[in-house]
Amino acid sequence: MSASLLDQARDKSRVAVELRSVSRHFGDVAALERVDLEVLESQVIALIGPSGSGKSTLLRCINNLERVDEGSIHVFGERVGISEDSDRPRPLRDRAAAAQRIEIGMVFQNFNLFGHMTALENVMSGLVHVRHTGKDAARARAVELLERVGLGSKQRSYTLQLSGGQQQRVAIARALAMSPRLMLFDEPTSALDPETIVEVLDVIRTIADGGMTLLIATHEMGFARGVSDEVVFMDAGRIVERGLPQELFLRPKTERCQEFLSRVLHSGREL
Amino acid sequence: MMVGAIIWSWQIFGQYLFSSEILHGAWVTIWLTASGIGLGTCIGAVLSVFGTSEKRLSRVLYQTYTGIVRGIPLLVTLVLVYDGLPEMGLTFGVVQSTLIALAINESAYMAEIIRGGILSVPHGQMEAAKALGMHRTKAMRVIILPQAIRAAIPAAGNEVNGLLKSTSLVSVISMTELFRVTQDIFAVNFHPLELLTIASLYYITMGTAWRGIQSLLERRFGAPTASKSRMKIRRPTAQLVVTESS
Repeated sequence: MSASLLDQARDKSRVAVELRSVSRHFGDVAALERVDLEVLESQVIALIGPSGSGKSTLLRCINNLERVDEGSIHVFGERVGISEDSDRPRPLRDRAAAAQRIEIGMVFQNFNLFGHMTALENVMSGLVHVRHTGKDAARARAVELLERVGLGSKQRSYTLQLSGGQQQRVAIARALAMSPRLMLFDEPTSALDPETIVEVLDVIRTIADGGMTLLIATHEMGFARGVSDEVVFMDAGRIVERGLPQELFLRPKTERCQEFLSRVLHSGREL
Repeated sequence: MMVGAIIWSWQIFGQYLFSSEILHGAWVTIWLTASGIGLGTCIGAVLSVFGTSEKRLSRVLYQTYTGIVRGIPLLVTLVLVYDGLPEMGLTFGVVQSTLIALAINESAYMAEIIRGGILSVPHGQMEAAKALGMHRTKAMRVIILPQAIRAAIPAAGNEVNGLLKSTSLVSVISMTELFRVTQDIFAVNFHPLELLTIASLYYITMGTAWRGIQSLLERRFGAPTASKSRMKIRRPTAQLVVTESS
């Protein structure tokens, strides 16, 4: 076997996420239009682009919260949402679909903390109800994670007693508790006050440094540039440009990306 | 109209107000209400999951069931179970028939109340549960229903209040609850006014007591976040006092 083939094989094993010609339409609107994307393990990808460009849909399709109309998605080599056991591919049953999501953490724009649980219970919920970890072990792990996101003192707080930034950090700890191999951040700071954005971004930065595979949809250009290995610019459901952060931000190749960046960067958001 | 002498007897009123028959009748009324609501909530919770299902067939089945059950008066359901079902070879005793009729009737109403509660839980809660790897049934059980039931407490409390009084209907199949007991007594002593006054006082008292319990429940479960956040506001005040005194 030649060296290049060996390299290819090794690379293939390191692919975390692979989208092949994925399309998703809502009525006449194409949220995703034949999107191809490959993300390697431990890569941090920032998704940027105007609102409605398909960033959220892309993330939601990866963990099957949104079905795909055409194309295929593989996460760690496994086809997402579709059973390929029989001759005719069919949607996975609910339980199998749920099992696929265990290794994929997701953080939402609106936090979505469970309203009837304390911060600690929120972080424990996945361990207790999905991983069936014992209560004591789950609690110990949850306490450790809350401390890691700087909220050790908020264990017993309910959602409404926490600021937006604190809620989002609890939500991140809740996702981390499942020890996911891949995490999806769907505009994690878009619903936050400017002063609390920083505390959330700092937490995400430490996760990125830890070597986990991350896909982050964000409007924070400075953060995207600093944290990511590669930046993907989307517009109208397509991936328009992909590149290293310093190149894409300083020398965007496409006109649409240039236009977007100049608009965003001149509207007060500093790089 | 004939106006006779006032025949109200305080003696009869006093004799039966706390008599063991009446107290027993009131107790039966209480446990019938509790069982009706309890069974109704359990069955209704399961039904409401069908009612909020993504599958059309589930929703149609749900609507058919609640439509039929809520369309039939409780009185008719009671007689139907007690006198009608034996024709199909299904014979139940008085207590069984009562509980079956109450359970069927309440399940439809409680299902609607819980369905309302489920719809009040933001969609993001289900998505977050799914994202953690919970399947639909698990997410429903540990994330959605606990919040839905909390949201449904005011409406459910109202249902308890209604059923408390509707249980008087079961007297028609000779279930001896409060109303039936009073009827049995005044059929013998010919003092309906005194005895019905006593029954009414009991219904009012039980209803009032329930209102107290309901407001306690609402404070405990209704809005965990809101009530706990009041504590949070109090805490800085306490700290202020400490710093001033030191």
